[in-house]
Amino acid sequence: MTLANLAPTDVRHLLSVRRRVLIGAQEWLRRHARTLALLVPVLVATGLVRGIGMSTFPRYVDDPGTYLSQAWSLQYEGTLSPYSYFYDHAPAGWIQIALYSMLTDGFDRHDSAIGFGNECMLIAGVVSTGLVFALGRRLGFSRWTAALAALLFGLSPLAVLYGRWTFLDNIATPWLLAAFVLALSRRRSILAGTGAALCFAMAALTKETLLVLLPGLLWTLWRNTDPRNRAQVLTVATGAGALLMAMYPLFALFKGELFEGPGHNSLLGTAAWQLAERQTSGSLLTADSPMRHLFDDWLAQDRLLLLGGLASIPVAVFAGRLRPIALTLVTGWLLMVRDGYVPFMHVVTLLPWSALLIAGAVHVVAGPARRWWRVGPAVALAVAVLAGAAVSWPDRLTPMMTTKEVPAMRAAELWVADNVPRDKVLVVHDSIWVDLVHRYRFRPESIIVSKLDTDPAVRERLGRIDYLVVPEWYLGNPASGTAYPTLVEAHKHAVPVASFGDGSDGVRVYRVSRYWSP
Amino acid sequence: MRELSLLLDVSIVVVSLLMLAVTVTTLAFQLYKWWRPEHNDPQRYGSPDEPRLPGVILVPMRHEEAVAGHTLDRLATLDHPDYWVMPIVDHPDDPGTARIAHGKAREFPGRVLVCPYPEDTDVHNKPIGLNAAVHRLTELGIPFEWIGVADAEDLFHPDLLRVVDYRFRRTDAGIVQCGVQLMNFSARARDLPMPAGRHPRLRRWWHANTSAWWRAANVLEYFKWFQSRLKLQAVTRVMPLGGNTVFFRREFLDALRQRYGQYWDEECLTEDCKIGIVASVLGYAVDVVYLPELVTREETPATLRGLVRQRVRWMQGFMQVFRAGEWVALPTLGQRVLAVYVLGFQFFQAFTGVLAPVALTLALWHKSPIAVALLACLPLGLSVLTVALDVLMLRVFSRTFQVKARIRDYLGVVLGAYPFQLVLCVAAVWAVARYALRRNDWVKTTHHGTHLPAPEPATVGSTR
Repeated sequence: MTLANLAPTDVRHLLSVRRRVLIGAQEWLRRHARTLALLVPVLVATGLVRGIGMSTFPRYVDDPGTYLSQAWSLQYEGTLSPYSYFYDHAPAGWIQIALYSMLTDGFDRHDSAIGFGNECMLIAGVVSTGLVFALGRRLGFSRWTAALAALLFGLSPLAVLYGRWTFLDNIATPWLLAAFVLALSRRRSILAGTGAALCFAMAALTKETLLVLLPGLLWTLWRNTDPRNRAQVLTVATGAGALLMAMYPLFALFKGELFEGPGHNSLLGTAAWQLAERQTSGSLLTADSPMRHLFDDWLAQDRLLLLGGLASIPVAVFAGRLRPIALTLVTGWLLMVRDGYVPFMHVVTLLPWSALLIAGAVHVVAGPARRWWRVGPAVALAVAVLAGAAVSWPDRLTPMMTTKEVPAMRAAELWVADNVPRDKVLVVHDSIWVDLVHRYRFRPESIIVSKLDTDPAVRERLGRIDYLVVPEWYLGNPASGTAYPTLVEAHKHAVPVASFGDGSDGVRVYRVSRYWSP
Repeated sequence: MRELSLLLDVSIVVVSLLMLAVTVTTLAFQLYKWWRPEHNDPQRYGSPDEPRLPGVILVPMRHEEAVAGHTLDRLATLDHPDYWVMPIVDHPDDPGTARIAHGKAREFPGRVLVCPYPEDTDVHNKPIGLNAAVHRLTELGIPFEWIGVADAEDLFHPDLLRVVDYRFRRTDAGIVQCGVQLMNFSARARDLPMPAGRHPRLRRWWHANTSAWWRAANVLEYFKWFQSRLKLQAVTRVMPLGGNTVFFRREFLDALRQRYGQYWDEECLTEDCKIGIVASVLGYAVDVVYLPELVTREETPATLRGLVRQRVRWMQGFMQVFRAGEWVALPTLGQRVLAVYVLGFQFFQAFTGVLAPVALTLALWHKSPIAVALLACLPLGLSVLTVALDVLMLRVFSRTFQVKARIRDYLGVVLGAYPFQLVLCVAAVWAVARYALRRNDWVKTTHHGTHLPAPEPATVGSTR
C-alpha cells in the first residue's frame, strides 16, 4: 500500500493522538460555529441570571433541605436517608447529588448545604437549557427558533425561581429532555433508542411522577424509528429502560420492604398512600382550591411562558413531530385539573414543553419552505413574544438577582452556630440540618422537625429537646397540632430567644424549658 | 469468616461485571443488522449483473449416499455460464457415494468432475480433501477465479453464483461468505422423517416435541450469526468463517499457499475459522452476504448429542486457532482484543448464561450488600432481554421464510433458553477436557436430510 492510495481517513492514523484530537476539535468547532454563536450567549445569559443572587433568593423551603440531608447521609453514612428511608421518592436524585459531592467535595466547598444545592441546580438548569435547544433542533426548528425556545426556558422568572430550589424535578428535567433528544436521533440506531430509554429511566428514578410522561416519549420513539429496525430498537430500549427502573423495586424487595407489612416501611405502601390517600389540592377549575392558589402564584411570576405554552398546544396539529411534545404538555396540565394531589413544584414539569411549543408556533408559521410571506409573520410573532418577555420579565428578575437580605432561616442558622452550645438537642427545619450536623457538628445530631412525630426511631431515642428552629408557619398553622404534636407541645414550654424576618416566613429560635421533656 | 464473606462479595461483583460485559457485547453483536436502519436495507447488496468470472465449487463428501445425488443435481444446474462442480470422494472407503458422483459426472459432462480423496493418508478430514481438489484443478489446467465450498447436503440457490460473482467484482473482498440457515425449528411432527420400528407416529411426535426447544435455539443462532455477528466481524476484520457456502478469490488462495505452503490447514478442526483469521492477517476483506431467498438451507444435527459433538469440535478448533496464534499478527490492538474475544466467545457466552442466576442466588442467600445483589441482577435481566429478542427473532424468521411458528415453538424458545446454555456449557467443558487430553480427532455431524424435499430416497435408490 502506498501513501498515494490511502483514503483521507487513513492518513489520520499516521498522526499523533494529540494532533488527531486537535484536528477533530477544530473540525467540530467549524461545523458547529453558527450553532455555538447562538447557543453560547443564551447559555451564558441563563447561567448569569440563574446564578447571580441565588444564595439570597428565594426563601428556604422544606424539600431542598430534605434531599440535601439525604445526599449528605449517602456520602457520609452510606444510607439513603439520615432517618429511615420510607420510599417517599425514588432515590436517584440525591444519589446524583451525593456522587457529584463525592467527586468535588461539595458539602465542604460551600458554607451552607443549600449553597451546594444551588450550584447543582445551576448546572442542571444550564444543561436543561442547552437540551431544550438541542431538542428544538431535533424537532426541525431553525437555529433561531431553537434559541428562542432555549431563551424562554432559561430566563423565564418562573423557571428561574423554581429552577433555583433544590428540587428533584430540576435534576430529572435534563434526563427527560435528553431522552427526547435521543429518541429523535437522526441515526435511528438501537443505541440511540436505548439511550433514550435509559435517560427516561433515570428521570423516573429521580422523580417517579415523570412516569406519566412516558406516552409522549414512546410516541416520539415510535414516530422516529425506521420500519427496518423498529421492532429491535423498541424491544432493546424497553428492556434496557425497564431493567434500570426495576432496580428501584428490586432494591425494596431485597431489603424486604417492597410489600406492606407491620413494623417496616414499604415501597408499595407509600405508593398507595401517595396515589390514593394524600390530601387533594383540588382542581384548577375550582375557584379557591389550593391548586388554583398555587396556579395564581405561578402566574404572578410569569404568564408568558405558562399561558403561551398552553395557547400553543393547537399548533401541534400542523406539525407531526410536535404532537408528542404537545401530548406531554397536555398531560402536565391534565394533572392539575384531575382533582388530586399536585406538588408545589409541578410547574417545573410544564416549562420546557411550554417553551418548545411557543417556539414551535413560530416554526409552524414560518413553514417548511421559508417563503418571505410566511417568514414575515413568524418573525413578527417571535418579536412579539420577546417583546412581551422584555416588558414583563426584568421587574421579576431584578429582585431575584439583587436581593442582599439573607434569608431568615439562614440568619437563624448563623445565630445558632454562634450562640448555642454544641451538645444541645435541636429540632430544626430541613434546610439547615446538614449545616448543623456537618459543619457545626452538633452532637447529638439535630432532628428534622418533620421526623419528630413520623419516625418511630426518632421518638424512641428522644430524651430531651433544647431548642426549636423552625419557620413560623409550622407553629402558626391551626393544623399543626395534629401534624406536629410534639413540636407544638415543646413550643408551649419554650421562650423565643432570637427572631429573624417576619410573617409566616419569619423564623424564631426558641429555648425549651429544662423542666419539660417530651 | 468476615474475610470469607468479603471474598464472596468481591467475587460476585467481579463475576457479575464480567458477565455484564459478555451479555452486553453478545447483544450488540447479535443485533448488528439492526443497529441502524441502513444495515437492514433490502438494496444493500446491489442488483447483480451478468456473471463473468469462471469458478469451481468443491463438495467434500463422505458416506453421503442419502443426499449426494440430489445435491449434485442442484449444484450442476446453477445460473452461471462458467463453473465446475467437484465432488471429493474417497473411492475405496466410500464406493456408494463415489458411484453416485461418477453417475452425475456422466450426466453433466463439462460441469461435474470427480476428485478422488488422497489415498496416501489414513486421516479423513475436510481440509485434506479441499487441498487435494485445488491441486487437481491446477493439474488439469481448469481456469478459475474463485473457489466455493459446499457441504454434501447443501442446496445452493440457483441465483447464488450470480450474486457471488457480482460481489467479487464489485468489492475487493478476498472471501465472499454467503448465508447458511438451519431451517427445522418447528415442533410439528410432520416435518420430521418417520422413524423405523414400533409406534413410529407416536415416537416421531414425541421426538418432535422434545427436541424442538434446542432445534429452535440452534436455528436462531444461525439466523443471528449470519445476519449480524459475521457482518460485524467482517466490518472489524476479525472473521472466523462459516464452513460452507463460502467463496475464495483465487488471488487470496495463492497468497495463502505462498505463506503457509498449503491452502487449508490440515491439522485444524475448524479450518474455516482459521482461514478467516488468516485472511484478516493477510489484509483481505470478507464480504458477508445474507439474502434470505439465497441462503443455503441446512438442518440442525439430528440429535442433541450430535449438537454437543459439533459444538465440542468447534470450540476445540477455536482453541487450536487461538493456540496457533495467527491472530497475534492482526494489524491493530482492537482487532487482537476482538480476536481473543471471538475465539473465546463461545465459552464466555455459555458460562454467562448459566452463571447469571447462580450469582444472584448466591448474593441473596449470602445476604450481600444490596448494591452487590442489584449488580448481580443486571446480567440476569439482560439474559431475559436476550430471550425476549429471541422470541422476536423467531417471529422475524417465520415471516422471512414464510414458515409458521406456533405458540409451542415460542414457548420452546423461552423455556429452552436456559437448558440450551447448559448444553453449550457441557460442550465447552468437554472441549476443554478433550483439548487437555490432546484428542484432536474429528467429531462429525450426521445428517438425515430432513431439510430436503420428500422424493429424496427414491432418487438415491434409482442411482443405485
